[in-house]
Amino acid sequence: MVFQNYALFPHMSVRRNVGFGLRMRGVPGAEVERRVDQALRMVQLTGHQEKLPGQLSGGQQQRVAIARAIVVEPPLVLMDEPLSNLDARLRLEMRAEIRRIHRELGRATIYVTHDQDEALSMADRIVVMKDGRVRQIGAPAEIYAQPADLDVARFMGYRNELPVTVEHAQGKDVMVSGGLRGTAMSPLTPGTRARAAIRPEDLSIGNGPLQGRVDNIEYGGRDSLVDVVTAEGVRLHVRSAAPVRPGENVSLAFSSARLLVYEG
Amino acid sequence: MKDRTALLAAPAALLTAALFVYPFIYGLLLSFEPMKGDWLANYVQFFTSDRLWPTIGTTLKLALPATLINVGVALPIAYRMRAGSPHRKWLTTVLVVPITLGTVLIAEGMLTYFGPRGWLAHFLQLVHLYDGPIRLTHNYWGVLISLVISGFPFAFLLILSYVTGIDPVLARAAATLGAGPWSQFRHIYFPLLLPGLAMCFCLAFVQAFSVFPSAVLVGAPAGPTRVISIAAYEAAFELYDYSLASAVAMIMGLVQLAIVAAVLGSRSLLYRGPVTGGKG
Repeated sequence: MVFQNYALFPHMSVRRNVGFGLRMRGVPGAEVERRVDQALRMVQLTGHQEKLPGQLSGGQQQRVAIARAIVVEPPLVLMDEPLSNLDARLRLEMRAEIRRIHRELGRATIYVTHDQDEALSMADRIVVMKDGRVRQIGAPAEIYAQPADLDVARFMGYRNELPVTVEHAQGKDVMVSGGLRGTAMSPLTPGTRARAAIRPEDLSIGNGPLQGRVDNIEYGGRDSLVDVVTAEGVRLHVRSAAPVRPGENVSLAFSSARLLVYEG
Repeated sequence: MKDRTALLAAPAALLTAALFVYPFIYGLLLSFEPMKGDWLANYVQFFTSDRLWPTIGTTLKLALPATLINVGVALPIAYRMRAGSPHRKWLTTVLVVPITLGTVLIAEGMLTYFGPRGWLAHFLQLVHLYDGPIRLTHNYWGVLISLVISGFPFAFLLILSYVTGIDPVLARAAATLGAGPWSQFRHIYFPLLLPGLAMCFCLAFVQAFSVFPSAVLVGAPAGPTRVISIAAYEAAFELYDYSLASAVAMIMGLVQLAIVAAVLGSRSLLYRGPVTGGKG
């Protein structure tokens, strides 16, 4: 198990920390040394064996925690938000690092996270949970494109939600109030109230069925996050590289495959 | 002087100087001005007189066991209560009472409870557990019990604060690595607690070593519990030899200093860093 705050034993050197589980299992000394060295090589911490945890950086401490967990060769490795205490750059580095260790080790790992990017980039399978219940199990691409319900969609970055009424439905194709075409995520009958969800990056400023006024712009380098407020007062987030100014009236376009309509 | 924040400590330093350093130096110098004989006469007298030098042993024989009992018993109880028990508030309140009451009241209570005609004797005879005479006052045991009653709460509260200061996630991490309850204590808690235990031992020892009221009230001040502070008291207020009394006080301080220095010296060999396991 890898803990969120590492939980390294502060009074033991890196070597003794990593070897702790083996010593508890009564593994002979020479064997402990060999396996500790091997684990430290895997997390690329060779040369730091005699340091105390307090002398290491956050990323190094996390590597020690990982080495300590995997050295006992558990059938299942559990990681509880291991990157949440690191800064953004280190988090990206450690993400790749944990992927590599996982590949080399070839052991099933349960990785708990609240970060959708982390979940999508690291997992082979994602289990989305809310309020203690499993909402969806699937491959990252599946969860990303086809969230099972509105909560999963929200977690996966569908930040825009429109309250709509179903006007016309045929199979997956659905037409909702406001003349919007979308994809039904469950069987829908005309007249039912529904919610349509779409990601900021799936909306674009141009000729489309949604109209609104630019309210706020967050500059983000390559593109900006533009807040557009519709006539009904719904705030929509749009990722766009197009130059717009606050107060400007714009139209928003999207592909009907990316507008997901959920009952409710 | 660039850093003037040190000046903030000046009032405290002045107070310490006035109330401790000055009397200490005064007493030290006084101890070298005996009523008769050369400048070391008091110390020579102390270490040659059969009435004086054995008091060191007498006091150590009381203070060391009392301290070991207090720290040794407080540690497992405090450890058991680390996760917070519903009775903790109760227990700490009950334990603080002896500290606030002081040794004289404890002695008073002990005389009625542990005395030859006390409740304990009555009770034991009533249930025929022990019919012989019970002598737990006016001897060595009376003073030892009194030192435990007054010293234990102090040791317990101090150790409890050390124990609860250790991040419990460390023990959980050890448990996931296969450490049982004993191993968790032995390899995680105990090494992290040792510096605190050493400090607690020193404070409890100094407290016990300067025992005076209970040695007189529930002890046998003429014989087995004639502790060093009684010797100093006699010199000062019965023989009116302030110089000799100062010498006794200096020797008392030296013995305490030697024990404390030995304990804290070995403490420097231990780990003394933070007691949490990473960024919280």
